[in-house]
Amino acid sequence: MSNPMTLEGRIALVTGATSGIGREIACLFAEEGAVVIATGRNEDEGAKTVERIESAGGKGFFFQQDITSEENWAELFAFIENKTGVLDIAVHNAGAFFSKPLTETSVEDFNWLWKVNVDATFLGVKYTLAHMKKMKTAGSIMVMSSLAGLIGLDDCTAYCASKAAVTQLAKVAASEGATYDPPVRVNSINPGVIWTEMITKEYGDSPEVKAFAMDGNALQTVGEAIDIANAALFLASEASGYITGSAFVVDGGRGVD
Amino acid sequence: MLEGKKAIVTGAGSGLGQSISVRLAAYGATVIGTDVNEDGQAETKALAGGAFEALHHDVTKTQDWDAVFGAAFQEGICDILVNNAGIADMTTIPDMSLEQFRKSCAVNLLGPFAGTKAFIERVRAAAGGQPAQASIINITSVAVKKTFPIYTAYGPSKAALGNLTKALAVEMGRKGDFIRVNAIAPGPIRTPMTEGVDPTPWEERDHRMLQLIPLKRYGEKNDIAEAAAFLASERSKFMTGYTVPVDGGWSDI
Ligand SMILES: NC(=O)c1ccc[n+]([C@@H]2O[C@H](COP(=O)([O-])OP(=O)(O)OC[C@H]3O[C@@H](n4cnc5c(N)ncnc54)[C@H](O)[C@@H]3O)[C@@H](O)[C@H]2O)c1
Repeated sequence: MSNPMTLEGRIALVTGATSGIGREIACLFAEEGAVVIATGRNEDEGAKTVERIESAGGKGFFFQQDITSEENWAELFAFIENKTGVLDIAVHNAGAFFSKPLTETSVEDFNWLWKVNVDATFLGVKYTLAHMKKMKTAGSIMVMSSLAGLIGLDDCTAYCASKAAVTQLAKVAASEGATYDPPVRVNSINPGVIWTEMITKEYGDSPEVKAFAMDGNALQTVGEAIDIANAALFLASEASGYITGSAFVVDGGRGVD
Repeated sequence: MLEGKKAIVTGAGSGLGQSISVRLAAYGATVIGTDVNEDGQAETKALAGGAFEALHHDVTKTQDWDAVFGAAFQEGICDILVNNAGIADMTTIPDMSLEQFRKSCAVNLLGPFAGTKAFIERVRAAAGGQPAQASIINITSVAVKKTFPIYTAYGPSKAALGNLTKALAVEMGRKGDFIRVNAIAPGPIRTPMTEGVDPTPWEERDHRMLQLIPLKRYGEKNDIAEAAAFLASERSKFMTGYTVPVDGGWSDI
């Protein structure tokens, strides 16, 4: 039986693969057969991701990247074209978060988050689409949005606005990608609360925070990075060949009620 | 991906239900396929092999559901229910009778409701006081979010099933069980259903619906089967209340 969920022979880019969800995606993709280019700012953490990939028998490279630098994007694609050839899959996962009441949020705060979450994702999708069009790859691109890109989250104006922006960005990129020959698919992944450093850094690692994270969703359980990695695997693979433009929600039912 | 799991698939004798049954079996599940279409069931059996058992079953009849669950829970737990059986009555409103509208709701909405209710009772009873675990998958349609001039009864009946999916997801979770409820909303796919809604042969149709679909093609039956396998498996263990749109981008762009 052929397995449409396999990534055997594919080349995948995962940004922000130096921790949390991004690292988990990079490792799962490699485990399923992809050659992974893991990027991030922190070289030591990047090396750990590659180590984990290699110790599981997979193949991965680290590329140090500041996603807000357009020059850096051009360098990354030059690196990819030299090192591995054609890119089949890209997960634009790197992003940032802070929580502050709207009235206490300065325009500098707002613009800082916008630059990391929106400008950088825009650049990433732009460079990836251009590469896939040129290379004639039937690619799959994902952008990491959030449930907060679909519904409001208290004291997270800048974050919600930025994630709503990238959810919409994915849809229009999907529309453009659909016209390529072969077509390129683009989806956003919209996770609910996933227990990673992004949450614990901002809210702490206390049992109360964990209880709150669990209580907010219908399944009353804590979302794990592997849950998002599995959704990314599905969207990256041929198993989802007719899915594009979607906001793929993985939230334990938090957004439903 | 589904080794050791047992699944019920309604409408297993044709189109999407047939593909779903074949794929779930290929991923290792034991499948009980139900349908009123016996020739189709024999075909599915031939394609799916030994892991497939066919039952005669009309989803609108409560006593038929009892027989299905009697078989499915005979030896322990059944993990997966795919409410796939459906009808597409594409009559437009001037010609549609109330009876016809009711019939669409009976198959597309009330059948899945009755089946899901009985399934949940059985799953909970089989769990014997422990949190019950199961995955329920409702096949709705792109017609939940997008409409077309022939969706008079089809659209509303599927939209209600889509909403029932969300209501059940929340209700199941909050009871402390681990019963996930999700839907798949397929875009147009060539099956006996879509072939049958128009007397013009497939090749001679204008296919104007494709203009609305960014990928400019119909879906494949396997696209739905793969989404069903994903939702049935542990890979989607943090997903409930979601509808996976498998429609070439129609509903989102
Ligand atoms: N094909 C598409 O383009 C498409 C698009 C969106 C949604 N869907 C949905 O997918 C599902 C399957 O569609 P399909 O295209 O495979 O259709 P199909 O007509 O080929 O198969 C449906 C099967 O359901 C069975 N069925 C109908 N009424 C029943 C009843 N009362 N009890 C038991 N079985 C019954 C039929 O006998 C048939 O075997 C349906 O719910 C349909 O609405 C299909």
